[in-house]
Amino acid sequence: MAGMISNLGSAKNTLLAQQTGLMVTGHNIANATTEGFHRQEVLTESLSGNAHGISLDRVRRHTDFFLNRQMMVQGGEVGYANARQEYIAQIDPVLGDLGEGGLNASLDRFFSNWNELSANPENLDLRTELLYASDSIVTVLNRQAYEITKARDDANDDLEFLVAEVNSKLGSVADLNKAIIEHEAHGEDANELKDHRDKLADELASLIGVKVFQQDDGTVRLLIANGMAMVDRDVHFAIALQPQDTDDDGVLDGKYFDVVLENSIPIIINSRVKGEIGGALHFRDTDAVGLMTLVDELAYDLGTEVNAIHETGFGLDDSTGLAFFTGLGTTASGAAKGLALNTDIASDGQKIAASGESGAVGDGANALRLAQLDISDVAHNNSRTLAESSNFLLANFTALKRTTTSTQEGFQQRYDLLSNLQMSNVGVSVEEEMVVLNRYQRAFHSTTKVIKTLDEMIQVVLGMKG
Amino acid sequence: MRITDGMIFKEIKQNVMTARLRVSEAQADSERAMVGAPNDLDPVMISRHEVLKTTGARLRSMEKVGLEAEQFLSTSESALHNVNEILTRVREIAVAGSNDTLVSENRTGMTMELQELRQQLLSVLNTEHDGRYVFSGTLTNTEPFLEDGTYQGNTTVREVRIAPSTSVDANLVGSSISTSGAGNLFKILETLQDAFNTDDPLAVRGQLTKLEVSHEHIINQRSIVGARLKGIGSASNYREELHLAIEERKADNIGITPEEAFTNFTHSQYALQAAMAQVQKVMQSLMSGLV
Repeated sequence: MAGMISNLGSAKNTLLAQQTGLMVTGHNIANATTEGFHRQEVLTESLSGNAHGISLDRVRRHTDFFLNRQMMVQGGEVGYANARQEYIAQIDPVLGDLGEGGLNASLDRFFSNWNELSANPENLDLRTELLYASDSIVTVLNRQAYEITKARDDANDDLEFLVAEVNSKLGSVADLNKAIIEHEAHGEDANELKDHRDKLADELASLIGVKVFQQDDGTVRLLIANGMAMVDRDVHFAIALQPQDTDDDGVLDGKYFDVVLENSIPIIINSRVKGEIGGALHFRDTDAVGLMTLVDELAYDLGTEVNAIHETGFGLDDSTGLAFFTGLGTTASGAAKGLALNTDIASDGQKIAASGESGAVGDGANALRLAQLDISDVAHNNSRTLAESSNFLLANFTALKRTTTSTQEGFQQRYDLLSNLQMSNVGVSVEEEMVVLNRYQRAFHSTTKVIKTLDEMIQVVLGMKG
Repeated sequence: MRITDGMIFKEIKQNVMTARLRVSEAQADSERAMVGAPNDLDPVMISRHEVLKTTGARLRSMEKVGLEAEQFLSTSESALHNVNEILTRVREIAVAGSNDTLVSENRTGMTMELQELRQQLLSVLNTEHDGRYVFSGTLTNTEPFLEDGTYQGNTTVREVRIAPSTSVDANLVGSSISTSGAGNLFKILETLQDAFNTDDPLAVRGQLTKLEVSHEHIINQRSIVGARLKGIGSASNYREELHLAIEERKADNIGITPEEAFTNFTHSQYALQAAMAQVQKVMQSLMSGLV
């Protein structure tokens, strides 16, 4: 009798384990499309000694930390490349313009008009055309400078909400780490908390590029490059923005921000971060600066070379010594933004100094000299023509666009590959779950039969006593 | 490897997206093949294309300059043709006037004709093209010759660029037309008129040689203009050849013909339809497994 009662107890344990199995399988099916969900599995153990049957060991959450770490590294690179690509796309309409409104076409028209004016310098229509072409080139260069600066400013502004998002997620990961420790201390499984935390860690990787390290107590440690911890168990280290000290006077009053890890002495981590923040910083401090240098140099070379010749010539009204372009400083810096057409010339085409000789209205010698600038190596320290410099800028921009696109594609492919491996390992297969469901259902059914049979046997034994 | 639902859906989503991307790329290729634009992600191709475009723009500008110079020189040539006609007639009159037997009445008529021819010569040498005096050097708003034949222009020759490394002088300076080895043409005519007025055949004969030299000089000036016009013509042919070469190189540089682009586009559409069909089939088989 005692053996039968004990068997009934074993059957109950088995039934409970199978019920848990059914519940977990249902949970897996329900979360088949939940992002970040790791499939779970009931682990049972066979009872030995006096007890028979099985008992529930634990609910296992499938995971692969090695893959997870790899994915986070790639995620950081993808976020980095995506951000750069987006800012580059922002300036593409102006810097990558191959049409009539582009820099090269404007420069071509500018020099063509000087050449045409050299053959017919008295023609006021040609002078007006030249003014339009000059205005067009000024507009293109101004616009390029404006768009690059705007994209830089946007990247800088974006840092504010990216940093806020990172801090919020860092706090959440630390909180979840704490909750996981508490749950597991009470013997409860913290699988959902871990799913949530890992998803946040993935998002952090994409935002700032973190590496993850699994701790023995179920928590994770998040580090940025150089091994600086951002989350350690339930503690997180926030990041912040600090204005740059651009003029090295010790006063933090720059227009742009550095990203710092908050500490008693904030540590600048610009060069240590990846993800969208790293991409925004790279665009702002490297890509945009490189492009702006080329645009400024072209504007400066064009402006100074044209002015040097124009000032020696004579207009139809015999005006002389006039700069064709204004707004240029003594260095190339800021030239594209400041470049403007001399307002005296813009309002009176007769002041265009096409003639090389005072009073000789039919002389186009100066216009011809200006036209011939397009085949003279006057740009980039007298090593390129202005057209070559403009072309170099375009080729540079295109190469940057192509590099970021192919880099982004490469990282995305690697990320997708790892993500596939991860999904294969931790994702839910509904068919598989259906089979498991069927298995638990049958086992549950069989166990209830065992209980029923035991019950009948007990009834028989009890009947005999009565 | 376990195949999970997430993998299946991700895979078919990826397939559809890739197929869509290919359609979009093929469409972009078709458009650029039609308009002759390079791939906007290829810096080398873009660079070559832009260099060719710049060269094309320079050639178009030189074409306009060449046309302008041709018209200007044609006006000059036409004026010199008239000067030639005038001098031919002056010589005929001078030859007739040098004859001792010529009666005084005829000589008076000739004198009047000479006066008329001198006026014509003055008018022709003050010819304008498009509001510009053609023979006043670069002082194109100044009438080159005064009534007494004094030259008011300058001696600057206008050089214009009509093809790569090819320039041409686009004007003839009036003083170089009116002055030859025989002296100033207006002076010669004035002396001739005086000889007719004084009824002096000997003096008329004295101007004949000078007239011949002046006439020869005008013919030389015409041939200079003719040579320049010929140069402009050959520069035009040179530009045309360069234009054709540029267009060919631009087409080569694009790397895809409209026919290829159309085939690729059709192919990519077919692939997209196949990817969509795959979605349907996968969904059907998954659903049938659940029933």
